[in-house]
Amino acid sequence: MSPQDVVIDIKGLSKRYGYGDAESYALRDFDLMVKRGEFIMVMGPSGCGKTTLLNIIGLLDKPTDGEYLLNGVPVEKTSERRKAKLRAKKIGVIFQDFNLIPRLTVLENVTLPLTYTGYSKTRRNMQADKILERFHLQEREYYKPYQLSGGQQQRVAIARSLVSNPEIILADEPTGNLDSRSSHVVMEELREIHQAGNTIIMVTHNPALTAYATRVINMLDGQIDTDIKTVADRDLPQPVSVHFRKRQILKEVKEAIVGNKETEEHDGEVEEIQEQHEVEQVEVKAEPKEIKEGPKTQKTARRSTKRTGKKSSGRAKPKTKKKPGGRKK
Amino acid sequence: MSLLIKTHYALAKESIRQNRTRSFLTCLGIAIGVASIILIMSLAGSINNMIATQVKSLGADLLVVRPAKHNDAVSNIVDGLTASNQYLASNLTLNDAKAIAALDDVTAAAPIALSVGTLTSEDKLVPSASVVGTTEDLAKIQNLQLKNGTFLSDKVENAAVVGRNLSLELFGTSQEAVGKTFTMLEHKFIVVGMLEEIEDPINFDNVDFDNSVLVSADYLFGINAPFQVQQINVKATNTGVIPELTKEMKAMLDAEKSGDMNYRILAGDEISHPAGGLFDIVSGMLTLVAGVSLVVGGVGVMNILLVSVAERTREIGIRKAVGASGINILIQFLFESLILTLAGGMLGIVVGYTLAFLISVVTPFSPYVDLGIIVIAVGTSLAIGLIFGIYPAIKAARKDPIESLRYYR
Ligand SMILES: Nc1ncnc2c1ncn2[C@@H]1O[C@H](COP(=O)(O)OP(=O)(O)OP(=O)(O)O)[C@@H](O)[C@H]1O
Ligand SMILES: [Mg+2]
Repeated sequence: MSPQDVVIDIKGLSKRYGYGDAESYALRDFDLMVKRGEFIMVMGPSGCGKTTLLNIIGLLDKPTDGEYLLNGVPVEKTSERRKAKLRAKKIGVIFQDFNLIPRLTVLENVTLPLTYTGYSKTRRNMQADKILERFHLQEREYYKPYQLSGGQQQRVAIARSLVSNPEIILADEPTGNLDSRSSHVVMEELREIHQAGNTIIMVTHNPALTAYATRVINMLDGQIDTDIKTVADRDLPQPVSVHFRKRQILKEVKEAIVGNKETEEHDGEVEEIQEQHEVEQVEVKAEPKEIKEGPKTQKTARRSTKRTGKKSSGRAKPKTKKKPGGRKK
Repeated sequence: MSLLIKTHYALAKESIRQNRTRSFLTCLGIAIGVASIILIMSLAGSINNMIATQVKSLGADLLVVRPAKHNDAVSNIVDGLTASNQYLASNLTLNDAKAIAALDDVTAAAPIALSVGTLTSEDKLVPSASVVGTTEDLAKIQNLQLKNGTFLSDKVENAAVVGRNLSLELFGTSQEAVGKTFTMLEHKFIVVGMLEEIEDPINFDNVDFDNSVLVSADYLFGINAPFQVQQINVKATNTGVIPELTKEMKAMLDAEKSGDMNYRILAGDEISHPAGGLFDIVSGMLTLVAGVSLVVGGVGVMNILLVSVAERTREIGIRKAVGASGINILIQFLFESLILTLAGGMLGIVVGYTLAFLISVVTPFSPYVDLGIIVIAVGTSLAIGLIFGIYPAIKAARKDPIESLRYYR
């Protein structure tokens, strides 16, 4: 495996709270190397530092000591602005306590990460619609969080973390409030996202779910207790496209040319993206190209035609460059 | 970028709408300030317009000599009120007026010497009435309509011409005052004429003729009445000579005053600057109100924003966690501030002009509507929004995401 395949590289990381007598370590001399396409389950007793670890990986918290390379870049040297951008586009976080904004509707909560990426409102809503549909929440779009059950809130939080198609998903007990059936739905979603070559780190207290993982880490007192890989590195699902950097450049070039910030990192999204293509092709009659017809296409097409309206013409063209879908359902 | 601005605008609008009462109350301070600004400027504009029209109707051959130091310092306002004379610093004399009148290019020159006196008629007494010492030339310079009788003349040195309201007060009649007598400083005056009711109490003489009595300036000087020559009105033979005449008058006055240059010679539009002491007081007060309420309003906006930032600590944490940068948060709160103050400004414009129109119903003012005034009002509100919004916005932007997420209300 080439070094580019290492997404997260943590060496000697510590997180200390308090000083002197009150000193305590949430993480102590922590080492972790995560490769692209891993699906890691983190387990351990309450208070052993799992959330702290996810916060640091998600660029929200800063370690007291140690080194953290994200995609080979030292996080310490990354500017706050860049970190914000990474959080918006590359990292999806599912918080243990959901962290929905109470005064915003479900739809607005889900579109939140897209707000800071320069998508138009129509486009944000379209993308959020789609993800909410996947989590069977489309009827609750205009509810406020307090009008939802705990499980529904959790699904909204998951939907929000996935809406911008992040490459790294950090999930803090995403099934904590769900019954086994809903858990299953969520886990299947995560599995699909994982199959598309994305990296997932998930905290759970449910040993039954470890079947989904490629690696299980047990933590104890801010350190790794056991670390078991159930899938060999070479068998990890890999994205069709080459490397992070190259894709990044490719994407930026595209953005520069067409002014379209659509992400296309994940083959997992190709199916949906193609739905949109079709919508827009229908409208502007761009050159036909191979389209994989999804079951939901018809409905989505009709609905989004209304929404995109006149704006679509500028976007239709670049999408024809998209890679064909790499995954069958 | 424009898209982000649009998004931020929508965000800010939303949060303002969710706190409607609070937002409205916050706007109020700004609204009062802006309304005062509008009122001041619209009234000042109106007065300027009025006097300008007057001066124009008097003709372009009019010159006015005034003391250079306009007595408008706050400490002098009270003096100005009691003396009804805002040119306390005047060093113009009656002789100056005479010397000017003697110049070749001058048709007529009349001093406006202001004094205050207690007038007593047979059965009535008017304390501190406005007494204007002038000469018969004044009638040649400006249009003073007589209701009956004649104007001042050299022949009767203790002649007086009364204004309508004063006549009513002093003699109980606004019709037949001619021939009646009154006493001031133990000297007898005889009324030779009565002025027609004046249409515009605001004029470039700054004399409310309805409430004044005109007497001979020389006689006033003769009886040792205290007075100030507030200005000298000069009528030139024709408009062509004005530049030269101005120079001539200047040379003469300079020689006369031996270097004390405390006077100005005004012509045309310059004359129309509002010369009213009362106006200065009112506008000074309104300016004070405007300034204070803008600052108080601004502090109110800041206060509300700080509360809002504290209330929404968790929201800020969440936004940052899902990808908002500090700048994004800063802009969001700054927009809120700007929208609040702008709304306040709009309200102020409406209220200010409504007040101006209401005032115009009972006074001779006519509100002066001008784009410049509105631009100033809007600019002021935006500036206040920026000045008082930036601190809370920075505070919000600097919040640490993890600590904010841990924040419980
Ligand atoms: N702000 C803080 N100040 C002091 N100690 C803290 C702070 N935040 C976390 N800790 C401590 O760090 C340790 C790890 O906390 P963390 O939230 O990571 O646990 P966790 O493994 O996620 O537990 P759980 O399974 O209950 O969610 C805890 O002992 C906690 O008390
Ligand atoms: Mg936790």
